[in-house]
Amino acid sequence: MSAESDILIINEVLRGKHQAYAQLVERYQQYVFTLAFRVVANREDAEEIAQDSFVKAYRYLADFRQESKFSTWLYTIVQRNAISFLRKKQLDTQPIDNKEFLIQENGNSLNTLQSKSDKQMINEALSLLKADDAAIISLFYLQEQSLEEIGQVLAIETGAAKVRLFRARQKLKQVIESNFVELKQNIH
Amino acid sequence: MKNPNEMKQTMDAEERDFLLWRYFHKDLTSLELLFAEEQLASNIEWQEAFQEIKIQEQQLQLMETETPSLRFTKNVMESIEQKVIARPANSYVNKNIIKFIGGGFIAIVAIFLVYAIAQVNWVSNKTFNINWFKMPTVSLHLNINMGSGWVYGCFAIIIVCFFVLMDKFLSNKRKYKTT
Repeated sequence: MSAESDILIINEVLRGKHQAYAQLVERYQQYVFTLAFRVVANREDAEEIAQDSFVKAYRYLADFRQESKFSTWLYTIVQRNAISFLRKKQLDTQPIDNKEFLIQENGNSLNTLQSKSDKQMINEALSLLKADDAAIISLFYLQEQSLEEIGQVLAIETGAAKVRLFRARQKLKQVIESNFVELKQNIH
Repeated sequence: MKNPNEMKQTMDAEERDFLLWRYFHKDLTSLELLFAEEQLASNIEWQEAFQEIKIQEQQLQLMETETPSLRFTKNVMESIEQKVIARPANSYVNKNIIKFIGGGFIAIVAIFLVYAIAQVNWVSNKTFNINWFKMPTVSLHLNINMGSGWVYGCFAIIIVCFFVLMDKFLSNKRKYKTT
């Protein structure tokens, strides 16, 4: 994915070839959907947010000033959409502080967990984090946004983004240690 | 910026991990880098902590995206068919209005300064007597007979201007929505 080709597509769309927008949707749909999913933790809601974000991005495409990457601008829209969706619905996102993140240990769930790979473990652990923490980890490790770009998406300073990312990462480590210790020992 | 000795004395486990994590991402200053490398070469605890961070980073690199439904692109494209790309915001914010408001503000400040300087008693050389705060009193009595006429005149002009600008703004907005 290159920023230059994004710009070419955007210019085509702005010249009236709106079908070209499908390329951008194809290119970013998984990232946008994942980011929304990390925040709202529900597939249907995440799909609605992702779709709405793409429509908003299309509607205000002329306002994209090309000072940042298109992806950064798009993720900013997704993040705001997802947060306002959460506020409206007042969803319980199971914050890590209320100690509800521990998975009930019964024979079946432990066996299931043990059969999972590292990838699944990370994805499952992310779903147990607070929305903000899961989003910042996704932006950095999955969407490959720099700390400066994450700062833009979350409307915070680069230094603050760095600290917040590190803390989110520490919480993820805590969740993994609380829930997936046996699995970790099997893997390593 | 702390020097390496200070860093060593005051650093707890979380700070150490933060430093090592930044070391992994090549985000250290030259002093911090020197300190981290020294510690990694000589301190087993630091080596173990760094090893753990490396493993976690490898795990995080394995993170996968989620996939939306197969109809996702089609749904988006159907939704945008009914939409029109909005004009860029800077095209309908009239720069002249902003300049006019800015100019008005500067004029008010300039008038106030000129008035305030004019109030300074330059004659007396013993006491520097400033009458800055003695602004002319404006009567705001609602009784028309008692109040000064020019105040009401100004209010009337401001209200008319407000309604004219409001009407212009709303009609522009209506026009913009229909195009």
